Amino acid sequence: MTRVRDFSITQKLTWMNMLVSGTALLLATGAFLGYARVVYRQTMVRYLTMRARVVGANCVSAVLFDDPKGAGDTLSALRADEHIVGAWVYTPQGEPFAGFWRDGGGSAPRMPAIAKGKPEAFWFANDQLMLIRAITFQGKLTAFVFFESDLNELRERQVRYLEIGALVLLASLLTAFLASRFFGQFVARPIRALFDTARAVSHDKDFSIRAAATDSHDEIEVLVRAFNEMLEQIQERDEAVRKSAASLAEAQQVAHVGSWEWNVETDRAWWSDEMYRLYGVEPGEFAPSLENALTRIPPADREMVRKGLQDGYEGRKPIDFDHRIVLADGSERIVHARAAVAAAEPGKPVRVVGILQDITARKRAEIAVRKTEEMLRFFVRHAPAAIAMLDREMRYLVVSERWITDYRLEGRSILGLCHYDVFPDLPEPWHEIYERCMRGAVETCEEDPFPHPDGTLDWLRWEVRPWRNVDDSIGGIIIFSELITERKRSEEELRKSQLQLAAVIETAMDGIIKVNEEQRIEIFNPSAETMFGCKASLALGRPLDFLIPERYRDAHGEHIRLFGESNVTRRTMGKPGIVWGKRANGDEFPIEASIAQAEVAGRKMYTVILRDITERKRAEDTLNKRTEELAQSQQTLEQKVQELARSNADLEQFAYIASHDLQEPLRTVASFAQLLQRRYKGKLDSNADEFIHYMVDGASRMQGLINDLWAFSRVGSRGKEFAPADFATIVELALSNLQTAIAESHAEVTHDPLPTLKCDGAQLAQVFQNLVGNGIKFHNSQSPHVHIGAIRKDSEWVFSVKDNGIGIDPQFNQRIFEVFQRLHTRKEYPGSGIGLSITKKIVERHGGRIWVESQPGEGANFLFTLPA
Amino acid sequence: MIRRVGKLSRISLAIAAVAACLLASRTLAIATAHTEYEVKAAYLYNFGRFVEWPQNSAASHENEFTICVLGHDPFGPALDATISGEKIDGKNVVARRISKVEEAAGCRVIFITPTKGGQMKGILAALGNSSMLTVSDMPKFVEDGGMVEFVMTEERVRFEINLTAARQVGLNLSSELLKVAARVTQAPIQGE
Repeated sequence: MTRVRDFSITQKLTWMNMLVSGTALLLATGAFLGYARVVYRQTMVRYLTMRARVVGANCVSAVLFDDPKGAGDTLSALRADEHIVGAWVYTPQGEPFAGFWRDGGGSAPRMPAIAKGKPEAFWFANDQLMLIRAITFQGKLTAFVFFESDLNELRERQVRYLEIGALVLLASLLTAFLASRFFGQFVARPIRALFDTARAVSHDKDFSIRAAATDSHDEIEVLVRAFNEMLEQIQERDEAVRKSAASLAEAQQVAHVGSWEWNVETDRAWWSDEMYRLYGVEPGEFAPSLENALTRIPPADREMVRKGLQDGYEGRKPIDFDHRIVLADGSERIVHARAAVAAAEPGKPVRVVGILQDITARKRAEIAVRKTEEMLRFFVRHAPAAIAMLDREMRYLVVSERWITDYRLEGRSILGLCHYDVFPDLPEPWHEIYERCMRGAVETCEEDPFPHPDGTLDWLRWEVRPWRNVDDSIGGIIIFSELITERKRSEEELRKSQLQLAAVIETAMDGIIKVNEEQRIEIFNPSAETMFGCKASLALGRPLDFLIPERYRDAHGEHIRLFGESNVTRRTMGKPGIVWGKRANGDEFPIEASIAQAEVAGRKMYTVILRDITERKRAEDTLNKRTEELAQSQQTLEQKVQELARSNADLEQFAYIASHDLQEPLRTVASFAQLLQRRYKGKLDSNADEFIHYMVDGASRMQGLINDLWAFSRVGSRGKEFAPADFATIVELALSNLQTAIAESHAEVTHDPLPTLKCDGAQLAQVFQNLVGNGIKFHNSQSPHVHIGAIRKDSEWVFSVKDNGIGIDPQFNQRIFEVFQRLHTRKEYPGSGIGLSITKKIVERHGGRIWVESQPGEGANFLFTLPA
Repeated sequence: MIRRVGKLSRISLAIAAVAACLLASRTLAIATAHTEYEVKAAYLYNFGRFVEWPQNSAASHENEFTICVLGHDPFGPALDATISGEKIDGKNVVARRISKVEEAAGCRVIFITPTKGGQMKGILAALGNSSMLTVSDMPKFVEDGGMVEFVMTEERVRFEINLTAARQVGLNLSSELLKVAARVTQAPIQGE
């Protein structure tokens, strides 16, 4: 078959013709032979039947009258027919009656049967036709005739037919061959020429080539003409395509739109020149594919691009998205991608055609616009005024935060709502104002009361004006309003304070004068009138100078100038606090003045407050004289104090020395008295024992007194330098000294957190020891509880030692601090009565005070202070 | 079909043979095995089938085709058996045995027994021009003016025909009959 396909048209034509004619002939011959055979057989049968009938009829009488010879004669007529091989007549009983075989030999065959009801039967066997026929005579079966005929004639005829067929076949094949050759010239050659032209066109893509015309007027000529016309159209179209491709490329370049195409089945992609330009690549160096394109897309966008395309290919949603492209120089480009997907069936894309549009400029402009818009919105929102922008239907477009707060709309989202819905109770005049502004009017109001639903009243300053679209049509209105309630109130207050000030100025005891930069009087109050004996009407507008004595005027002017240059806002005038004024009648008088300056609108103003101190000056003079006298007497007093101190010190020194020096003889007395008592107790009479006891007792008491006195005297003279000391440690020390007493009386001693102060620690320990010891000592039936407190009060610490003991009658509050003062007998509470005196002395040495707060039976609270 | 002839045709041959036997039982036929008069009886009947009678003959008006046997019947039951149920020209074939020639009216075929041989000329004369086929096995019957005379040749029953006699009475004998006749004479009838 391949070989046939490669045949030239001429060969094909030849073969075709020969094949057709050959096949037709063969088929015809075959059909004819078959038909001839059938027809021949039918004819043979018919012929034999006819013969059988004739012979049968001729034999009837022979059979009926038993004349085999006669029948044989009749049959032998058949010998003339060379195809009859044998002929026999049978009686109706099937017995052979007469007949012959052509070859002479053999007996009659057994009579073949005939199907019942049929007049004859025939069959072919061994190239022979056998036929038997029943012969009736006058409706009665009379005999059977049997023939056997050969078919040699048929065979001869068939051979003849075949010979003729073969001859005709040869002749027709030859004719077909020659005819194909001949007509092939008129078919194949022009087609060949056409073929060569077509190949040249397709190879060179030169559509200007034309096929040569043929001289025949058949379909081939039409074909050639059509081919040339087609070429012409293709040439035109090619030209048009070339042009439109060029203009498309140009258009793409101008519009910055690239286009691409992807054939899914072949997986081939095509990019327009502008596509390459958008990606900043050269067509020759960059294979157009998604993977290559992705390398130029920033990583952040890649997944989005991939997914966007995939969704598009699978038909989930259209391909329509923006992404960025990074160029070789690092700059970015924003592009908009769109594509149409041609799918054979949903989800099976066949071809994708897309565009890529450079929208960098638009995107940047959009961003700029958005930014501007955002800024504008921000500006409006944060403007320190209530601003609302509404559209023609009075819906809120943008409002400032102040609008929300001023109109108490916090927590409501009003953007998009209608102004009238937000303020359903808006008075009718407002509707009219808005409508006028919608028509282009600008309305303002400086002060307008705005009652709130809750009954409060705000004051507004407002302005309503239309805003316009780009085409100058009115797009809506802008409402600007300022809540001036505060301003209104402050104005009110200012007026009030001005009135008050005026009243103050009017009624002030001091003269008040206000001058401007040129020193001209602007305010001159009644007191000043009285002071200077000059009516305000005469003073106002005049220079201040006329109120100053001539000799001070220059100095005063300089003074004011310097003050004006300084930044001091107010001060007293005059070094000694006194300046001199001049009354209208020329009298001079002393004045105490203070001056204040203020700058209002760039101009200096000075306010001077004056007080006529003539009287005070006089009183001061008297006072000065007295003070001088007092100073003299004080000096005398100081001398006396010094003397007293000296004598006090002497006394202290004496007490110290005395108590120290007295100790030695006293110790001797006591020692020997005790020795006497030990050695001679019971050896002398009873009186002697008693006397010795009194002597020992007295001596030991005296020793105690002397020790106390010594201690007391040492407080002032033998004190240490003050140093910072922790009072907790001090109290600790004091309590350790009282350990025995505390243990014996089961006392409880507590204290607050205690400070660290500069003091003589040993002496302060003495103080706490004395006070706590007293607290424990003077207990009643309860077990003693003493608490030490410490509170800072201003510049000093207040310490307290509070007990739950017997308490002190307030009448003894002072006495208990005196030396050797006791409220109880020695028997009741032992002690020399000097402890509190020492305590007081130590506290006072530290610059503190000590006192007691107590009621009998309610415990005592000793308090003392120390400077912090 | 042709190629399968062997078996099928043998079967059909057997069937046909049986059918033929059945047919034979109902049909008269000549067979050498038959007695002479059985054959002759069949010939009598068959003669009737090869002869045309004139349209206006007396016999043609009869409703039956009558074969008469004049004289002593030599056939026995053979004749009756032969013609039983047979028809010629649509008429039932019957046999009538007569003893006098006068009784022969209405007969188509008349077999004249040899016993009356002496009187043959008288019988034939008595029959005159009646359209009857006269048959006899009397020797010289045809010379005497009879129409058909049985003769025995080689142990076969043959017959001779006097065509002239037959034509005289208007009988037309089929050529087929003439063809198988042993001899056909056209001699003139004696006495004319």
